[in-house]
Amino acid sequence: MSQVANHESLGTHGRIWLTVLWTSFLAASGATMVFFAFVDPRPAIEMLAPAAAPPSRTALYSVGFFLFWMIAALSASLTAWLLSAPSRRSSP
Amino acid sequence: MTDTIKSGAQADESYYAAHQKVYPRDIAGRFATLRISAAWLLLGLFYGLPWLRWNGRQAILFDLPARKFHLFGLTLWPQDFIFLTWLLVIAALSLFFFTAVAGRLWCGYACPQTVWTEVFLWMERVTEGDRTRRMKLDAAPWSLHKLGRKGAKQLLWVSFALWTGFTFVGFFTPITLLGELALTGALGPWESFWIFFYGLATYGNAGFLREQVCKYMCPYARFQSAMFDRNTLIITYDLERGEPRGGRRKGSDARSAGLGDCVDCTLCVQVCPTGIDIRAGLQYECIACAACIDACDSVMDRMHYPRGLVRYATQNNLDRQSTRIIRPRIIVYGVLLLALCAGFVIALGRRAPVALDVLHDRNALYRPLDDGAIENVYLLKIMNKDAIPHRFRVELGDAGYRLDPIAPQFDVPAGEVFNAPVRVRRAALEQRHDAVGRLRLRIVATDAPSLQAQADARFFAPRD
Ligand code: SF4
Ligand code: SF4
Repeated sequence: MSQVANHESLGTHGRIWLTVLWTSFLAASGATMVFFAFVDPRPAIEMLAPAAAPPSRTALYSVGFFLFWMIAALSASLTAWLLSAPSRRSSP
Repeated sequence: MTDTIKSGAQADESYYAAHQKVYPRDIAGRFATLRISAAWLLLGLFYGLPWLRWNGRQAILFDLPARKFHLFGLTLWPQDFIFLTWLLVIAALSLFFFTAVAGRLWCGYACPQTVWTEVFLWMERVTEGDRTRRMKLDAAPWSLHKLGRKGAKQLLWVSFALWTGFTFVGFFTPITLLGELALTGALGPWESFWIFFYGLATYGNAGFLREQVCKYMCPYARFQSAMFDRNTLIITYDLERGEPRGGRRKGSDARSAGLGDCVDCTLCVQVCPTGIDIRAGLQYECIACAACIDACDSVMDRMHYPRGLVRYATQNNLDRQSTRIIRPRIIVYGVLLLALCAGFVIALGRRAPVALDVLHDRNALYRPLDDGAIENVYLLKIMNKDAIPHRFRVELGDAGYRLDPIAPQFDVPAGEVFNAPVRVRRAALEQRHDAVGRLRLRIVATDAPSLQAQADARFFAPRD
């Protein structure tokens, strides 16, 4: 809680947003690594949506990474938001 | 005197309204030399390694599109993911170990954040001048002169950041190919994207955020205190010796004037890249870069005082007690680390150098032949993880089945997967009543029969 209070005393939400993006970036990097180590996206995509020119693995990895980042950022921003919302009990 | 810093600083034009821009002063000295040598070494490795060749291919290539990691003679596959995890655990534990022994050695000398900030600072110094000039330039109104200096700096920064992004992507896509593509403007959208992305990250972290990364973004900086104890080497100001601080004339007897050894010149504060005052004690912002040691040593030399008012020391050392290097925490970390490293090497050495995957043909489950026999087609994925090419013979363990041709052979280059189609038939005479049979396929290297792998497959036949 002191972290959040600290941020607010700086009078800016910028730092919160950057922190949210940053922690979720870290989480997404880890998730991407683990996920694609076990799942080869190429055959999966070919099976789900057969196309003449299936997207390259690089493209699939990248899209996967951004999906993970989005989900993680959603969770992190929710956390930040809930923590920063005024709490009735904490007021003196 | 810290006020000089504050008055000389201006609010950063970043999101952080309350953030004061830090203008670290350049300082020469023993630790600066060490730090710069470390930076050269690490940058040399980063920018040089992707260009290194090994056995006709890039020595270090995390070939994501092909799902293979090449590390010199070693090829790691997705099945070897455990090794990567293992390496990460070793890296984390080494960090704990070194932190417990010597504090934030990593931060001061090896962290990419520190190293790249150092380079960006150097570029800033080259284009905008030393600390005083930089502060003056920032305070001055826009002029042609200012525009030129700032423009030159940005040009250097941006080109260097782009080169960094290019090199980074070069660890994942063969860098010579990447270079050709970049020169001919034929880079794929994702390659270009990641080059820019990483370039932007470099620019932002090393040029713009700098010490704020250490202060606000780095998890390590936060949990380091859990690893520190009274015997950990940290950067300290010798309070007992330095206080009361104060200015004095050179050669005057400070002791009789009731003064300690600190002349309160604030040089240690001016050189600090995170903008803190080490004299206030150990702070989590301190990245242990030792710039303040160099600064204070130079002052002590000038005053003809002994060096080491600011120095590497342990808490015990400062309290005039003996320092114990060997202590339970160190022993536990050390033993664990050794065990993990040994286990890693052994496991890597015992890793099966060949692997086999069998996929049943997707188009047809089975095919009846003219003579009444039933045929199934399989795709063998033969993985040769060895450093040399091998020829593999395919064998069938089960007596009821026969390969066609009898013993097909396939050449598989080093570190490659070879997709080999094989046909297996079951004689019509030997009627079985199950529609699905099991068989075991084996590959044997013809030049080294101990290199084997096997896999089970299902054999489909019409139900009779
Ligand atoms: S206090 Fe000294 S060692 Fe710590 S970051 Fe500042 S200059 Fe570096
Ligand atoms: S550099 Fe040394 S003498 Fe100068 S203010 Fe810092 S501690 Fe005191």
